[in-house]
Amino acid sequence: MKTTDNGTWEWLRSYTRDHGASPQDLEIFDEVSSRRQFFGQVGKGGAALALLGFGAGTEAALQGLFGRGMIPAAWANEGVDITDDEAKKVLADAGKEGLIVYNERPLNAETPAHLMGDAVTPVKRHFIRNNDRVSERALRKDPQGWKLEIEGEVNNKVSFTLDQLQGMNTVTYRLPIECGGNGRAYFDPPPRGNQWKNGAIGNSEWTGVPLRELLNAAGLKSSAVYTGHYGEEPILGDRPPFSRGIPIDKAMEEHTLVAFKMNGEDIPAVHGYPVRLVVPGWYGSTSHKWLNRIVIRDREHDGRGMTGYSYRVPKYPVAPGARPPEEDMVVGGPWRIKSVITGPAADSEFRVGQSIKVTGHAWAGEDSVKEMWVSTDFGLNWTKAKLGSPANKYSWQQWETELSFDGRGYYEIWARGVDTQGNTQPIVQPWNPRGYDGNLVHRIPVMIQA
Amino acid sequence: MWANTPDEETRKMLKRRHLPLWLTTPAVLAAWLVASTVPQGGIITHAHADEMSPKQLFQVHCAACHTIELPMTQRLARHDWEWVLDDMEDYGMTWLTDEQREQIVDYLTENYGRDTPR
Ligand code: HEC
Repeated sequence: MKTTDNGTWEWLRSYTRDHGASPQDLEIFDEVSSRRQFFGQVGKGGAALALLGFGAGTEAALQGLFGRGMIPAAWANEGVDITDDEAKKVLADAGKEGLIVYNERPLNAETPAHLMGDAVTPVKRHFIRNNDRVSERALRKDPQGWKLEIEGEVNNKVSFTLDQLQGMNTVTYRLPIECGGNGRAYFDPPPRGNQWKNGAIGNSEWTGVPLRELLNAAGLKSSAVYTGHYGEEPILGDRPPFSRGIPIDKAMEEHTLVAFKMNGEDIPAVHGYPVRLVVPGWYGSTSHKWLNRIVIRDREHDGRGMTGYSYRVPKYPVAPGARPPEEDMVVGGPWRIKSVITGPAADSEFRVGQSIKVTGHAWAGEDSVKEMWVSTDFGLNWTKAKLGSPANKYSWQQWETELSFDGRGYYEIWARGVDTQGNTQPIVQPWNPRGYDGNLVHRIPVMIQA
Repeated sequence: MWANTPDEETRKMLKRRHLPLWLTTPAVLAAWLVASTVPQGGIITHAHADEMSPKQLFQVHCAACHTIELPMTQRLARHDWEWVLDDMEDYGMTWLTDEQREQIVDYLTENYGRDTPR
């Protein structure tokens, strides 16, 4: 059945007219049908419907109805290649390489540990966590008309254009952004959400204005206790906009940035062009991308991502698999001590006696890392690794050590950090319902040949 | 190939979702969908709703807002799949019948359950 030729469209047009379509509807129809090549580019039926102004989900509603008659085989799509056009576009735009893509819409992808060796994470290796879609402005790279508004518990509502921000005193720091769910794959039983292993963290160089400069310009009222962040991203589903926040003290900390450059270049579309927050050491969801509004609150912010079970953890330890009542959940935020082994790669092979260089990073939320320890006998014995100091507060620290194995067989290299308070990383992951705060000891299996 | 008029259930559903009236005839809906999926290289297969397998139900309904890998990468117990479906309904997935929902949860628990290798 050839359906996209003009005959069919004309038939469809008269059919809709005869069935009471208003002139306005027909206008939309003409617009859509004249651009039907567009469907091929933008994707499935959802694009057509979005153009007609229906919300997300309409497509499936139609599919449900449609299911009474037909199922387009194009939907039975289990392929691994990227098919979503928005995903394709933003991955190419950022030159991404070697990432593991978990899903395309919303686009979520992490970096395998052995590709995370750089002290400053290059754009191509920075993980991607999206709750919704990518801002259209970012896709167009169009700064025209963008501004950041600050309102709420402030003396003066203020706003800043990109030029204004760029004209202020800017700072550049190496800062970690890490998804609250990084490490979820090691929870048992598996919680809902992206099954991140160790790679949902990046430590790039961010340039921008400390948020506190902007808050000072607005003048915080004494009632100001929390921020609420909003961005330009289109929302998936019938949901309120994604909006998390941080306590005012954290907002006023000098490394909390309103950033417009990543590694010295404009921020790529998928990482928040033109402007994003960078809230180092806290769940990545507080570092809002495509930022355009900050509301200062007189109480803990209650946007989407602050309530229910999202980005929240139980206030007491719960049994693996349990779901405590909602009122026993509290907002998560600062990260604990963590480390990753970036070399050797998992499942590498070596010879008995061969000298092996082990490298990695370690970081500790609001604290810094004091010591790194490595074990090759499943945690019975630990030896200290060489640990560098952070480039600036919050930045991850590099560590390395040399080791070799005396006999053949299967071994694991384990790494564990210690922060200045003496906190270390667990060997068994404490459990919570949505899999946040994962900071398990990282383990790399290696084979040693005689 | 398809029914001539939407049934009561569908009318209600469409009303809830504020579709303009002229879009509510299955023929129009079908044509839209065909028109918009064919350029993707899709081949149209025919099947009646009753013949839709749980897998097809899952693929058709759970790829509307996000890509299908999102549920496929999960390994959840039945009560967690129920919880996910509750949330998806909160997000606007309002069109499943009780039986369809049941079938999808069964399918997910069987194929993407806690014991399925990750
Ligand atoms: C009306 C839109 C919509 C439909 C239809 C939908 N989802 Fe979702 N789903 C969402 C949104 C929005 C998210 C949140 C994405 C995020 O935050 O990364 C989501 C996330 C998920 C997640 C992962 C995160 C979580 O919350 O656990 C799973 C699993 C999931 N959906 C399963 C399903 C299944 C199974 C179906 C079909 C029965 C389905 N979805 C249909 C909107 C939808």
